[in-house]
Amino acid sequence: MTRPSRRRTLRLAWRLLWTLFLVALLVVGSRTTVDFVYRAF
Amino acid sequence: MSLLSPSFLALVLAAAVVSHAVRGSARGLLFLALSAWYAASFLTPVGMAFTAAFCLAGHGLAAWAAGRPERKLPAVAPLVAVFVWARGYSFLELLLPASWLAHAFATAGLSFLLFKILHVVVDRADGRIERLPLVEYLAYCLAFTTFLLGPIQRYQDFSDQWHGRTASIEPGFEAHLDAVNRVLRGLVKKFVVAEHLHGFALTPGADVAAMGTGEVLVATYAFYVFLYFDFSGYCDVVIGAGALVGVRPPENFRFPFLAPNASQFWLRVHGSLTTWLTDYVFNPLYVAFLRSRRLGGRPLAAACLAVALTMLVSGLWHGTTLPFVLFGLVHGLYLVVFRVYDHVLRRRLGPRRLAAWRATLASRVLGTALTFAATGAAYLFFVLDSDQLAVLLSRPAP
Repeated sequence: MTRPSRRRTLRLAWRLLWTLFLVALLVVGSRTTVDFVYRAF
Repeated sequence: MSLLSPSFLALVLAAAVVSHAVRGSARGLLFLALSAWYAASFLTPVGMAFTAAFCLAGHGLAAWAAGRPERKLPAVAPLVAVFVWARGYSFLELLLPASWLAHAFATAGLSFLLFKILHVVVDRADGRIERLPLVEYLAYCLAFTTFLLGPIQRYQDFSDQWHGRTASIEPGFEAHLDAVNRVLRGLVKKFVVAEHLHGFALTPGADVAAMGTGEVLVATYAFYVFLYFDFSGYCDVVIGAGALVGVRPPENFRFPFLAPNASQFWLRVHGSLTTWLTDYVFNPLYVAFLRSRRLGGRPLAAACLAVALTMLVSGLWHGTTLPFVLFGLVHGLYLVVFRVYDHVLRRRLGPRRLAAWRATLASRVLGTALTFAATGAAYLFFVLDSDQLAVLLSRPAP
């Protein structure tokens, strides 16, 4: 893997991780989603 | 329709599909139908009919005033009058019989809609909008990205993106992932940070009489921070969603708590409103005052009066009661004080030494702290009603 493409892959991986982090924060931290999850179970 | 609901997700996905897969007039009609679905979740059928009629009246008046700058004011006046009536401004109770007041239907997003339509009418009269196809105009007015609140988009910006003359988003997966992340960031700001801050914030129903003055102030600043996260979060969601559906609204916030003065504050908080007010209220007033006999040779006085009146309009736009007038006037006072201070300092120090003073850390820290304290305290007038303010202001000074 060449250096620029490795950098691009790392950048993309970081962004995907950031997306997952935001989704997790939203699910755990928001009262609305917490209530939704409670209701679902 | 909550931004955190499956319906909103379905709306964004459907609008993105329509935007990318459908061409011609069907695209406009489908986007309009989706936006109407969003609007209908906040409005009663009567409210929807009124909103549609208001938009159509705007289109008719824009056509009547097209290319005729002298028709600007007569075209704008009935729209403003209907807006004042429909929003039920409290002073109307003094002017009109009770049966004339409009309490039959609730409005939503009407303040934002008014400014979008007024801009279209004025720009059409001045020749800055050459064509105004009805479906595209209605899609602009009711676009779910800017309908309820959020950035005040200009028609030209919407139209350029609508026709692909400017891109709402860079091509490629990464740019689309960034837009999704922008939506998620906004949802976290609004539904996690703001939701938790709300517990500490001053609320309209607060029992001010039972609270200490310090307690009220802390709650006011908590409201200030809450409002930032709530509204800027909403803007992040619609900007990200707008990029995905092909009509990205403009940026609206730029770290307002770091503003070094009152003037910078208004460029950093709800920036699209500030530029609207500058273009359609401040500039015409300033030019008119400079041409007047009394203020002709006094640009500082003309600017101060124009800025005070502009902030009065801003206050009236934000709400319908006396405290909102005070909210606007207080911000007007801040801006006038800043302009006079800036003018005096410029004359005393000269432009080079003034720039050097502004660049110092002491000046920036002092300016930022003062601006935060002053702008935050003004939110007292935003949250409390006249009775609560009377209780608070009648207290003896500590």
